[in-house]
Amino acid sequence: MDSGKVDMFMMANAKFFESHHLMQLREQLLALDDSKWVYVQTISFKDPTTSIIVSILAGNFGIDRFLIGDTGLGIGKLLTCGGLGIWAIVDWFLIMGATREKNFFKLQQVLY
Amino acid sequence: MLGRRRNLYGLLALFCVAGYVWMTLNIDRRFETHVGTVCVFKKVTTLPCPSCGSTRSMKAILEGDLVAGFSWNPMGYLLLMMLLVMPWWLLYDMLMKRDSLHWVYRQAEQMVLKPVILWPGLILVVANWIWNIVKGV
Repeated sequence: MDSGKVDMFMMANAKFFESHHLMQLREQLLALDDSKWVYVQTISFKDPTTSIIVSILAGNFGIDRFLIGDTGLGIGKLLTCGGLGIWAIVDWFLIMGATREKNFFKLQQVLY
Repeated sequence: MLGRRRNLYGLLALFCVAGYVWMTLNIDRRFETHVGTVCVFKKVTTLPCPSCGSTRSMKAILEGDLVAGFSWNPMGYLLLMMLLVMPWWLLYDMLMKRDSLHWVYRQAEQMVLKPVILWPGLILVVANWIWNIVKGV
C-alpha cells in the first residue's frame, strides 16, 4: 500500500498501540492489499485513556475489562469485588497496555 | 493463542490460591473483625457493592447454613462452586495436556454477550445489588 497513506494512519492511530508493535504494524500495512484499506479504516479502536478513567471509577465492578472486550475477566472482577480490591488496583496499571494489545489483535484479525 | 491460554491458566491458578488463602483466613472469626471490609467501594461510599457479603455467604455455606449463605449474597454459591471445581479442572487440563477449560471459557465469553443471557444477567446483578443495599450487608 502507498506509504503516504500508511504513515498518515500511523500518525493518527499510534496512541492506540504499544510502541513495540508500531514498526511491525507499519510493515504489515505497507504489504497490505489496497482492497483491504477500507476495512482497516473502518475499525474503531478503544482509547487507552478512556479505559484508565473507567478503571479508576468502576474498576471494582470490572467495567473496564468489559469495555475492552475481556468479558470473562470482567465477570471475574465483578464477582470477587475487584479481586478483593487488589486486582482493581493492579488493573489501573495494566489496563492501558491491555487496551493497546486488544487494539492490536483487532487489527490483526482484519489484516489476516 | 498458546500464550494467551497459558496466561489464562496462570491467572486462574493464582485466583484459586488467593481464594483458598482468603477463605482459610476468614474461617477464623478474629480475622474478619480485625481486617473489616476490603471493598474499596464500600469504604468510599459506605454502600455495599454487588459482591459484598460473598465471603460471609461462603463461610455460612461451609458451616452448613445454606439459607444464611443465600441471604448474605447468592453469588457466594457461584464463587464456592468455582473454587471447588477450578483446581481439579486446571489439574486435569495440565496433566492430560488438554485445553478444555480454555475452550469453555471462550465459549462462555461469547455466550454471555448474547442478549438473551446478557440482559437477564445484568438485571439479576443489579437486583442483587439493590438487595445488598437494602439489607445493608
